[in-house]
Order: sequence, then C-alpha cells, then structure tokens
Amino acid sequence: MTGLLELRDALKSRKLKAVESVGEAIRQIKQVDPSLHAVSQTFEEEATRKAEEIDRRLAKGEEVGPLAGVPFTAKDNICTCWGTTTAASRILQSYRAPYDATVVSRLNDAGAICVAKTNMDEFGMGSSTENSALVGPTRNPWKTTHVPGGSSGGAAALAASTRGMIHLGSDTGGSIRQPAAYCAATGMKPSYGRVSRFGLLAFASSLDQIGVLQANAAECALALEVISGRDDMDSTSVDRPVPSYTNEIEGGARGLKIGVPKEYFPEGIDPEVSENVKRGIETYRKLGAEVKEVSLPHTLYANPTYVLISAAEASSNLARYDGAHYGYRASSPEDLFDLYSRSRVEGFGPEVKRRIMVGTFVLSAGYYDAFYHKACKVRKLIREDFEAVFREVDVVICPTSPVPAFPIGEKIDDPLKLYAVDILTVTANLASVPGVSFPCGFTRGGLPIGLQIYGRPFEDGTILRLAKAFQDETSYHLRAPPLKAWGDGARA
Amino acid sequence: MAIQKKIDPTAGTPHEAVIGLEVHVQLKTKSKMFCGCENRFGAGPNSLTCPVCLGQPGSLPAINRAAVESTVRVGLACGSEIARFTKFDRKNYYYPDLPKNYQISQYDLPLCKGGAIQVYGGEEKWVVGLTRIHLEEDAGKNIHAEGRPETWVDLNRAGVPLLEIVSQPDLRAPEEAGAYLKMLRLIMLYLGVSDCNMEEGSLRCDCNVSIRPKGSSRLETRTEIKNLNSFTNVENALTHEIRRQMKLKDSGGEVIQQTLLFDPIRGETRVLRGKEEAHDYRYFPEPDLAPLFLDGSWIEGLRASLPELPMARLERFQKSFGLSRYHAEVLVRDMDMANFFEECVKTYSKPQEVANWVINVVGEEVNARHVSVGEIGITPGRLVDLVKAIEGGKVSKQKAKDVFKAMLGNERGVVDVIQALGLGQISDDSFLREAVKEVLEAHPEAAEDVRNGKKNSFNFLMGQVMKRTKGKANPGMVNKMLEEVLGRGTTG
Amino acid sequence: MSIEITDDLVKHVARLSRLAISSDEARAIKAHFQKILAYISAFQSLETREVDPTFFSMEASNVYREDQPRSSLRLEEVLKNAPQSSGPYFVVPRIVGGEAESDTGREGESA
Repeated sequence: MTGLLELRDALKSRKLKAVESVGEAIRQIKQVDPSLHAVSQTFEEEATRKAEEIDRRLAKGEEVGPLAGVPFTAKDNICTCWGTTTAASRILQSYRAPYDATVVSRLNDAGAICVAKTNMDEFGMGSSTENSALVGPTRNPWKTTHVPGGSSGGAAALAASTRGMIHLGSDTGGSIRQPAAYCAATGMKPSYGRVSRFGLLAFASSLDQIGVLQANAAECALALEVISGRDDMDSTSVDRPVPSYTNEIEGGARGLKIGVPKEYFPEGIDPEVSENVKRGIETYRKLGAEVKEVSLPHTLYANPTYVLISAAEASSNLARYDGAHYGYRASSPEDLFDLYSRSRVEGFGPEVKRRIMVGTFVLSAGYYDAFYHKACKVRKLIREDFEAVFREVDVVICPTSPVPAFPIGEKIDDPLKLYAVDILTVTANLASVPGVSFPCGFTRGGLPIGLQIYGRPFEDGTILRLAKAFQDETSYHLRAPPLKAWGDGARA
Repeated sequence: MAIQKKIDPTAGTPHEAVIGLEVHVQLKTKSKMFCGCENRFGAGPNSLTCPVCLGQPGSLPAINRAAVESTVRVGLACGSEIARFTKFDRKNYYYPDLPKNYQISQYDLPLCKGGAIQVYGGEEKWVVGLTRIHLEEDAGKNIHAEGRPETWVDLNRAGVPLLEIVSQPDLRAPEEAGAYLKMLRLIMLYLGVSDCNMEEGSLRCDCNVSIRPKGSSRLETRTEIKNLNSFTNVENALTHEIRRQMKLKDSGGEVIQQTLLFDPIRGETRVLRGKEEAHDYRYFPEPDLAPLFLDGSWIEGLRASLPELPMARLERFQKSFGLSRYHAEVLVRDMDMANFFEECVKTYSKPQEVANWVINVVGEEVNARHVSVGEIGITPGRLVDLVKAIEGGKVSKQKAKDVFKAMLGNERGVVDVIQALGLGQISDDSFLREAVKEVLEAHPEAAEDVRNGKKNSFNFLMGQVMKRTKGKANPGMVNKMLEEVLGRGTTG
Repeated sequence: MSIEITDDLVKHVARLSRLAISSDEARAIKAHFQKILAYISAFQSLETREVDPTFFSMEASNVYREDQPRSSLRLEEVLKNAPQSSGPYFVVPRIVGGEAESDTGREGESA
C-alpha cells in the first residue's frame, strides 16, 4: 500500500493517474467504512470528475500544483461546496456551504481532491465520536468495540486504516491529538494562527485550530506546508512565512532539550500508558536529546479553565444556529421565540445543549467576573507556565491521554468522566502552542498509546522533527490495525 | 443651529427636562465593517451579502481600517479622548436581522471617550457633553409582510459600519435636542464620513428622557424612546413624553423605566418593553479580532488634517467677512454653499453682497431644483462676474435675476448674456439726460406737481423714464437727475 | 464559592440560550450544572488579583482589512439553505412588539 509521499511522487512522475489515485482512495473507504462509520459522505462522482480534469491538464503538460491528484478528507465541520457540512448535527443536516473553507481552497489549488467528509462529535464537543447525531459512533479500527477518540474520530480511524490521503481534522482541546493516540495515527495541531480557521465551524474561537491526522510525521509536514499561512479572511491567522516543514523535520533529536512536566503523570493514569510513554521518553535520551524534569504548576486548573472558556465561546458561536436563515427549523413555529427555542432544542444533541447552557451561564450578568473573567486570568497563568518552561527546554513531552481507547458507551453518560480524558491535551490550546501525538506503544490488549510533544509557538517544525526522529528509530507507527483497507485486513 | 424657541414644555412649570441622545451614524465606507460587501443603500434585497455578514457557519470578521479612521476623526472633531488601546466585544442577543445572534460592538474600551459639541442656543453657545463614541456593525432590516404573519428579512444593511454617539444628559428641551442633532449631522458632513440621511437610515436617534424639579441635580428615572426617523419626530416625541411625565408627576404618579416607541401619526408613545425584560447581553471580548493599539503620531496626523468644522467656520464667516449670524448660519449649514461662497469672495471683496446673492438667488435655485450648488450650472467666478456687472451699472438688480438664469448650464460671459437678452442697463449720462428731458417736456403738469411737493408724481415721472427706456435706465441715476432738475425729490 | 442552582436559574439560562428544554431535560441539566460548577470552581481559590486576563490568542494586534469592495454572493447562494424564503427575503414568524428584542431604533417597518 502506498503512503502519502510515495503517492504524491507517483502522481508527479505520472506513474499514477489522478483517477487511479482517487479510485483507490474511494475503494479503501468503501472497504472499511461499513465497519468503521468514519465517513459522513463520499464524493465519488465529483472527485472522479475532478481527477479526470487534472489528468487532462497534466497530460497537456500544465502545472497543476504540488499535490496534484492527491486525495484528502475533511472533517464535517469544515465547509466544502461539495455535499453538506453538518458538524455531525441535526441542526445542519442539509446545510450546503456556499463557499469552501480556506484550507480546502488551498488543497484544491494545490491539485488535491476531496473524496469524503469525516465523522465527528457534534460541533467538536466530545472525546469519543459518540456524539454524532447523523452517522452514529465511529469505531476504532484497532478494536471496533472501542471508541476512536474524538472529536476527529472519523479522520483518526481513516488515518489508521487507509493509506495515501490527507485527513483534515480540528483540535479545540485535543480533538486531533487524542483520537490520533487512540488510533495510532500521527496527529498534528499547529500553533494557533498557523492555519486559517475561515470555513471551520467555530466551537471555541480562541482555541480551535485545523490540523491533520496522518500515518507519520513526514506526511504531516507535507500537508502542513500546503495549508498553512496568513489568510486575509481570518484575522487570527499570522503573517509569518511558512517554512518548508519537509526540510525542517530532517534534523534528528540530538541537541534538543526535552522537558517532562511532572504534573502530566496524574493520579489515575493507566499504568500501561505511563510505562509506554516513559519508555518512549528514554528513546529520546538514546537519540541524543537532553531530557529533564520540568514543572507546569497550574496544570491542575487547566481542564476546568478549558471547560469554562470553551463553553462560553461556544454558547456565543452556536447562537447563529436558530432555524432563521439556514439549518433545521422546527415545524409550525408560533412566534420568533418559539422558532429559536424549539429549532435549537430539537436540532442540537444533549452534550451541545449542556455546553451552551454552561457557557451562557458563565457569561451571564452577575457571574461573568467570577467565571469567565477569572478563567481568562488562570489562562494567563497557564501561558506563563509554558513561557517559563520554554526558556529552560525546547519542547515538552508527555502522554496524550491518561487512558487508551475505551469501550463505546463506557463514558458517554458521565460528561465529566469524558472531560477527564482531555486533561493532558487542553493546555496546548489554552497556551496556543503546537502539539503532535504519535504512537509509542500498545497495551497488552492491542490498543495504541500516544506520546505527545508540545513546542514553542511557531516551532511546529521542531515538534514534527522530534516525532520523525522517533519514527525513524521505532516502528509503532508502521503497525497496521486489524481493520485496514489493504492486504486482507477487511475483517475486524 | 440657532434655536428659535418654539414650545418648551417645561416653561412655566416647576419641572426641568433631562435629555440624553444616543445617535447611530452609518459610515459611508466603500465596504462593510467586517467584510468586503459593498456598503450601498437601496440595492435589491440580500444582493450585497456574503458568508460573513450573513453569519454563515465558519465565517470570520475582519476590521475595516477606514471605518476605524473615520471614527477617530469624528472623536477628534468632538474633542474626545482617543483610546490608545481598544478592542471589539460581542453583544449577544437574538434577532432575525442579526444573523450571528451577536453584534460585534465595543463595550468597556470605546474608541473615543468624552468630548463635547457646541451648539447655538439663542445668543449663547450651548455645550453638549459626550460620554463616548464607539464603532460597531449595523443589523439588517426586518420588514412586516403585508397581511401575513411573517417578517421578511433583508441583510444588505447587516455589517455596515455604525458609530454610536452617546451624549451626556445635558439637553433640557426638545428643540435643543433638534439643534444638537443638526450640528452632529453637520459635523459628519464636513468630515465626509456619513451622509447622515434620516430617511435612508444613515442617521438614527434614540432618546433618554426624565424630568426633575428645577434646580435639582439628581438623575431621575428615565424612559427611552426609539424609532425616531426625522428631526421633527425627535422633537415631537420628546415634547409628548415630557408632557406625559410631568402630568404623571403632578398627579402623584411615578415614572417607570420603560422603552417606548413613538407613533408619528398619532403623536404618542407606546410601551415596547418594561424594565423586567431588559437584556443580558453577556458581553465578552471578540476572540476573532485582534485588539488595536492606536499610534499617537497617527492620531495627531489625523487631527492636523481635520477640515475646518462648522462652528469654527461660523465664527470665521462673522469675524472675517462681517456676515450677520443669520447669513453665516445659512451658508455654513450647507457645506457646498459655504464653499461656493468662499470661492466667490476670493475674487470679490464685498462678502455681504456675495452672501446675499448666494443665499437668495443661488440658494433659491438649489432649493427649487433639489440639487446641490455644484449641479445648478454656474461657477463662483461667473457669479462674481454678474455681481460686478450690477455694481458697475451694466444691469439693474431687478433684471439681474433673469441674467442669472440665462447663465446657468452654459459658459456664456455675463456681458454676452445681458446683451443677448437686451437687458443691458443704460447708465450713459447724456442718453439718460435726454430721456429725462423728453419725459419732462411730455408731462409738464406732473413736473409742476413735483415742484409742489406731490410725491406720487415723482414716481410717475420715474416710471415714464423707465417706460421710455424700456426699463433699462439706471434707476439710481434717473432718480438723481430728476431731483436735480425738479429741485425736489421724494424727500421733503 | 457556592452557587445555588435553582429551577429558576436553569429556566432563566435556558431562556437566554433559546433552548426550549423539557422538564426532564431541565432536571438533568440542573444536576449537571451542580457537578460542572463544582468542577470549574476549582480555580476559585487561586489568587489572581494581580493577573491580567488573556482574552486573545492571536499574537498580532492591529490586524485590518483595506476598505475595498469584493463581490457578494449570488442571491440563489444566499437563500439556498433558507428554511423559508419569499422572493429575495428570508422569512421568519412575524415579530410582535414587546416579546422580541429591538435595538438601535429598528422595529419592523411596514413593507
């Protein structure tokens, strides 16, 4: 089976045609998806037509772009003109975006072709992809009774069980990294502002970032190069040049200083996670990096801060889903208030409604100061923790999640239990730093374990470089899940 | 600007009115506040919209630089303190003309704080303090469908940049409010930042009004009046509401805090909502927009390039040109007319004469044809030529108006026009003496009557001379000649 | 700090959120609120008087857009997702006086 880089090269050298590349991607998806439920839509027709057009242009000798013919999937909270963009919510069940998200445009302009939208937790709210109102839960290709993580569960499942595609996800509190860890994919959340959010259905504006889930760090670097960069439509996107991440990742680990924050091995962490992560850290010592213990003292307050700030921003960002101008509208509304209130209560799932209510509450009169305002101060302290640590070390390393993938249904009835799996990922979003998760081992039961690296803002290349160094030295990322789209892996 | 004291409803009562105005001014930028849609009134419904101003999922705002600049210029013109650090905030509420269900506005750090506007009040200059000026986005338009239980929404106006100017409660009478509004409008026109057209909605006004015993400095419970769409309605609404409050107070009642709508046809207010339903806007800083640090030298640059403002121009017209305040006001009130006048005065040193001509003759033409002075078809230079011709006796004052009309819309010189119309005034001494002689010979009895003191006969003889010269005789000269010859004139 | 989560508070927040929750949902949310508030109150004990809040994640300030018009969406695109439209307009139930919000002096104008 062909990885992304090899595929890109084969297409470039015209050994492979775009229609063949797209055909293979669709075939893979069709093979695994009946078991995985990772995909909400496939664009077989549109993608094939586009591939034919690209082949025509390539045959004429035209420059089509650095990713000509490369297939990609987009999480269903990323706007595409093709098909629908639902955020896995009933409230946007039939919504057809009138524009492509900037990342989608950039991939299109590079010659890449969208083949599917992937399943997710509704509006990004969840860590298991069990909160998907339209497709139902996505399965973990390593164990289909288990969750793939969330909210980019569909993308993670595909990244694990297929090859030769780019998978766009989004990360607000760990939604790329945690599913990547649960599925043995390499999931990259870039620095805040590195990638445009224009066209990403906002969950929490100051925390959201689009990123990718791939087979390895080199693939992430390639994808990141194409989608990064200032976008005039997104005022939070930065005006910094995009380096060649593909070049930046070839540096090895020697000479880099790695910090291990003592607060990131919390009480209750799964011992197998702890064991595999610690062994992974040792690998870096072997590779010549300097490893030392550091402290991020306000870690304990990170998850509550995250829960509060993300709920507050979400309550405002999701106010627009009201049945008035687009989306689901309740039948025969009596008046405007009824239109809004019934459309939203019927259109949103339970977790979304809970978070909207919490968010509204913490912003409301009388509570704003004690809650939202205070949380923003704690956020400042968390950022300062990182600034201080990054004066001592270049990167920080830790487990991605305190537990590996858990059975479907185990945590879904207890939101707080579910929030707890995020405690090691939310700090990256609060501090606006880049983070990558990649496999460092497996439980004895065969479930993947993720190792996570955080870097300084805009040193995205550095953390990918360390991930690649690890992957050059180990082969966890090469292990294939029982359910995969190549060889004889069709059966789970 | 000068207040003609109409009816002050509190005159002769023990009450004093306390009025503050909240004025919204649409800025006439080329594009909207947070997106690139055209900022234009009167386009087909929903034809000037995009994902951003439609509040579509995934869209993000971007700050219009020109709008910020215009706001600062307005603040400078009003003597406000310009914020060196400012930001936008979300004001959260649900309404169909507000597609995101939040309005991007400014809460605790407005672009401009304080300031004051000078207004004429009888002989004194009246100063109305400002609390703040901030920048926000306008909402769309809700239209009641005729005969159906529906509201139609047009979002063309959604996202247009809007200034909110809040005055201190310094106004004491409805006509003061009217004068303040007119001066505010004039300042906007002079700065070129808005058309301030109440019919088109580019100037809107809400009033806050309360009454208190004369001499008290306490602020009493006030009501808010909305939906005022003309200067007259503002004054009428205030008059009505002040009377209502006084009546209430006099009969032992208490004013309750309410929001009222003014019905201009009935001339009365009705309750829109009471205090209990007041909003909780849950303001928080807009995370999608970067904060603004305004550079001191940039601000000073804007201050230095402010045009001469109406009040200063008013004073200068009186001081430098010796115009009466009435004339000065009429000119200053119409910026184009004032500019026209100034051009004339550059080449003719009798400003009062020019002012008369510009105000009466030019002004009449402008009002009759509902156009601006630039469109009536005469340049300042050619008007000056005409005024000089009158001064030089080439045409009489009475006939000059006809010459004026014939000079409109073409490039003809004044002398040509006078000749072509045969309106040339005869100021030739010998010719006129001859005519006078002939008339006196033809009417010896009248001449005798004049010598005997009959005034009417003098006028008769004047008339005869004018008749004989087909109205072209220079009346001043004829008058003098008759007096000379008859030894008597109209005096005596 | 301990806040009493009453039925009225839940009702009030639901109203502000425009969510017509059922009484069952209200009960469940009330319980959830209690837990969540305890959870997010963890940082209440932190001393933050001297700390400036972080409201913005972006590194830049003064990010502007030049005042240049761009093309707008075609009407078909604008309305294609509208649950109800009439000609070029979006359609919602009629706004009646007091129950809906009104601001900047705008009230439904007669067509």
